Amino acid sequence: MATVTLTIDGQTVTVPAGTTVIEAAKTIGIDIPRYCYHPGLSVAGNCRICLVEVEKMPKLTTSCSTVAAEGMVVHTKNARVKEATRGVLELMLTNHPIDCPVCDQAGECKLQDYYMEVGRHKSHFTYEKTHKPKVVELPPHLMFDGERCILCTRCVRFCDEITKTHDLGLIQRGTHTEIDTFHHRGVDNGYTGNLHEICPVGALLSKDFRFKKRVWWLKPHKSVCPHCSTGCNIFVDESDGEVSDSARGRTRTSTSIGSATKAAINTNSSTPKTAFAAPRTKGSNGTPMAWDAILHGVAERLTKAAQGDGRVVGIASPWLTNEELFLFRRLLTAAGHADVDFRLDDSHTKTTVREDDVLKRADKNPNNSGAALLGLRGTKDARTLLNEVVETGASLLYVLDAHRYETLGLADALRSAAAKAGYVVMHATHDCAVLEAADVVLATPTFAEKDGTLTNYENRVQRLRRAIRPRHDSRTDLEIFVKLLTLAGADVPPIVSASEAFNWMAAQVPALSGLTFGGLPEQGVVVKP
Amino acid sequence: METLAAIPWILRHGGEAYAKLGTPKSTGTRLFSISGHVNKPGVYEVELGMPLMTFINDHAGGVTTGKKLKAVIPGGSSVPILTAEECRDVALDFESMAEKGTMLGSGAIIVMAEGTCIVRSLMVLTRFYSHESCGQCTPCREGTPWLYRLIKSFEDGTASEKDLDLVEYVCTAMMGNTICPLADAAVMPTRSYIKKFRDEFVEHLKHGGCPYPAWPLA
Ligand code: SF4
Ligand code: SF4
Ligand code: SF4
Ligand code: FES
Repeated sequence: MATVTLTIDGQTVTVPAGTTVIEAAKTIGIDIPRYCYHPGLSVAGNCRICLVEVEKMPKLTTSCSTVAAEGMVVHTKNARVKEATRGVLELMLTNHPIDCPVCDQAGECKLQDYYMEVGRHKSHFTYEKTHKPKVVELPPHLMFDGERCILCTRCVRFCDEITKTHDLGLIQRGTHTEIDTFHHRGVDNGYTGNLHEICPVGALLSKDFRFKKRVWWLKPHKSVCPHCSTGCNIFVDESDGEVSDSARGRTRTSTSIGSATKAAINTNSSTPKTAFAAPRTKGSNGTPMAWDAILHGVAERLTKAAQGDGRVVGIASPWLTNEELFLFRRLLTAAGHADVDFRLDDSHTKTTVREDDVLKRADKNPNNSGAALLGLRGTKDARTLLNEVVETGASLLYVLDAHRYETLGLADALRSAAAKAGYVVMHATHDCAVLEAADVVLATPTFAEKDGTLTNYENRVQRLRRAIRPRHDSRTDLEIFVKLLTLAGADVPPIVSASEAFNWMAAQVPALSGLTFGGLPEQGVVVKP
Repeated sequence: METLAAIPWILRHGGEAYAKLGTPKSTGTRLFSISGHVNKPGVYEVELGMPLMTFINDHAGGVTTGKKLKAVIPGGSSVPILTAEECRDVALDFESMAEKGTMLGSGAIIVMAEGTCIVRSLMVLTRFYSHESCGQCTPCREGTPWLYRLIKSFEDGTASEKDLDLVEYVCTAMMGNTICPLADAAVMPTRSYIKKFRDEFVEHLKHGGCPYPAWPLA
């Protein structure tokens, strides 16, 4: 590979030919201010904040658009550059409202950051500022503030180059230039979460997150988006530790922009907007019951089943973690000759199918790959199994993620099957009508409330991390399975964490052999099924 | 177009004959469009090297109604202005203009007679550049309207002494820092107007606005 060697602020650096000065500087830890530049988008060179001095060039030049050349001598921090950067920043702020106290961007705003770093502390501008539209809704998820916009066109380029939906453009010119949509319509391209993320200032903001929280109260948790089989790496930003209605999702890798929009839109809405499920049994008339009592009852039924008391049917879910799926299978094995499957629909056939040229895949579940890899696929899918139960009955029907059955069109089949089964256990995060058909409802947490691993479309095993404590009286599926296995006298170590479960599982699953939970790299590891 | 128009003459008379026209470094002829306070405004083809005053007096009919010359913009609104004094010994060629710190630019010569308000003409120019800014890059989008408002404040009588330094401050932030030369085109005349006619800006300050009669000028 051809390389060039140049000097930046006295440091020598060798980079591949074609690298821009701003990127070359980054490799040696020199952070040049930028607004319009984004490594995932084409270069616009319009904000002029990244000016640097290149020796032998008469004018300062924008480092985002200047390609590093052999022998180049660059200064990013000398007096001339500082003066120019301050000038650009002051000009940028002349027509900026500086309404930071009510701006959601405050705390992670590049205008604030660079102002503190290089800015002037008193503006020379004394005239009335140019007024533009504020508080503009761009349905369904965005809020726009034309006065805060610095016209960097990142958003325009994102819609042109990434989603190719061309939603945004520039109208007017000069000081009246604005970002707008055609005929003021909204922006709904499936990646709007990324739009407010790439906007370097508080011009494009999330409607859901609006006025919820000052960002400095948020704590980032590395996680994986559960909304499709791509499994984009995200941060779940949470505050208050316990419960957070202001949690949000953010992309984790800066170069893979365009990810995790759904999670970014609302981390909390990964499940239907009904009340959370509560643990209960049929006899308790819907009143929540103590976990121990319920689990003892279930364990008793499992033991009975193991003693040959008829047929056991278990239906898993591609929303569970690998550890949970593995333990579920173990649980059903312990219960004797059980039928088990995870195929709730045909999504498992679309796990690798792309939905667009950006990131989304047609399989809207996070772990179909994991379920298949861990051997949860039987000979019949969920619908067939339920119909069989209707025909021939079962002593025990064990259904995970029952709150998904309504949307999947499986609620009636589940109800009919439940009517014919001797004993019905359902796990659910949220309440729904179909739970009434269960003998026992075990409340489980949502994806942001548990640890574990998920396996994406390319069999990449990645970590999910608990960001918030469960908001309702729930136990993780993992905890429930370990407890039931222990009560049923199965040979299972006293697992209490996802880490222990993973390591125990990895020792038994050839595809995972050699892997440890703690040793999983930042972006997971691709395994061979 | 101008270059193409020279071709038939060169074909007929030969390159050598064409090269003999003009000065050693600025050969041939150029089209100049002269406007403002002259008796015969229009477009003229002139041999490079002709003294500016010869052009104004002998070809463009001299300054209107016998007024004294005040200033000349020699090459379009974006180049530094020349005072009447500077005009006396400047010629229409690249070197001569460069010596005076200005340019032939587009060849659009604007003549201003005594009685023209320099501040007001700069206000008109900066308003033009502010209006012409496409708004793409920060220094020009934000700088050109700021310059216009500053210059206008001298006309309106709302400026204060430090605003002359502020104009220079804004010019420094803009000059050379933009995508295209439009910002420079606004800065160059601004700087030269203030440098060469500072007294007139100060006079505006003292007078609390423009001391000249309203339009039309002269
Ligand atoms: S975008 Fe918001 S936080 Fe940033 S400077 Fe403007 S008002 Fe303040
Ligand atoms: S809305 Fe944001 S991303 Fe778009 S041009 Fe304005 S500042 Fe840039
Ligand atoms: S300098 Fe050129 S590109 Fe930049 S805003 Fe002005 S006219 Fe547009
Ligand atoms: S980051 Fe280089 S011009 Fe905007």
